[in-house]
Amino acid sequence: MKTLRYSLTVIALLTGISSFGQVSVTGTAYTEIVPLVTAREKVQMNLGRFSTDKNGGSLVLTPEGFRIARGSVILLNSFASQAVFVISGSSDNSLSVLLPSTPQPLIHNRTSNRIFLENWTYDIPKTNDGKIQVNVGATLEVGPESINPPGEYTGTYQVVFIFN
Amino acid sequence: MAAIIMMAGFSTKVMAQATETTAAAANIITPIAITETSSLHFGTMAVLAGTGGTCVLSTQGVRTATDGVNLSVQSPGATNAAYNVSGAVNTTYAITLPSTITVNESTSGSSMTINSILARTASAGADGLTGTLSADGTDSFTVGGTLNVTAGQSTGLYSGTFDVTVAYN
Repeated sequence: MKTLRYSLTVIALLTGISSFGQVSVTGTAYTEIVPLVTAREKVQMNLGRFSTDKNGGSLVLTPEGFRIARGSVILLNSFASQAVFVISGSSDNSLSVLLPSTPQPLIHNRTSNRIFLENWTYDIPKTNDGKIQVNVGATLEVGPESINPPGEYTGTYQVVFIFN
Repeated sequence: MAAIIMMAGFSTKVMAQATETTAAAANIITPIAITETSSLHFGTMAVLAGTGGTCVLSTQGVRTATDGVNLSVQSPGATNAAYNVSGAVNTTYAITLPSTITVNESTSGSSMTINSILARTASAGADGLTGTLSADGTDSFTVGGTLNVTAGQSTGLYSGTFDVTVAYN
């Protein structure tokens, strides 16, 4: 009898493990390949030449390339241009443009003094021959001459293009 | 066979009856269960026409690209496969993952493979294939891997299925 009882116990235990000790689930893996996006700076932003007195002011460069002087800024005759970017990629998707959200500094070529570009704007992207053109403008905040002496100011900024 | 043994036992008792109390045991275990809470998604990416590469999705959701693969921030983003496991309290269990997963794009018929598939359990806090069910009999784990993208891979949405198994140790 002892032999029989032990045998029944072992059988019950093994049955439980084989039925409920392992389970599987089927999942799904995804990924999406999209056309390669390229962006090229066709024309660099150039705010041109201007002068200011000790009070400073601002210079608005519109995405269309127009310059507007404010405060004591006086525009001088010179070449100026909005930035022009050409983007290629998924023309079937809408394009989002991410411009700097904070003022970006330009550095004076001799003193390292800084002048800031802010209020970045862009126009409605235009599609031509399968490529998209985006024009970018910004506003230059000019301090008094003691802070922003005459000279050349340069700097870099980042623009992100996203196909949605 | 059992009936024969019992008959033999009764015949013994007629000759000399004796009673002995012995222990009987049965171990009723809580079935182990698994549910998927998130699909494995490597997100959106592009690849150079002349150079392939990989997209590695860590078990903690960090995506990195190699060679010609360019990751995109377009939606949908990348997500780990995620699972909840339940069963016997304070019990270890083993995870079995596929060695490769194939994903296909229906229009072009193109495919890609996912390998180096890894799991990370909440209980272990590290990549591995063993977890421990907690005092309330639960645990969870995430799965990542490496997607292999060939040069000029056809664009489109790729998908494929795979099995994940958990078993008591």
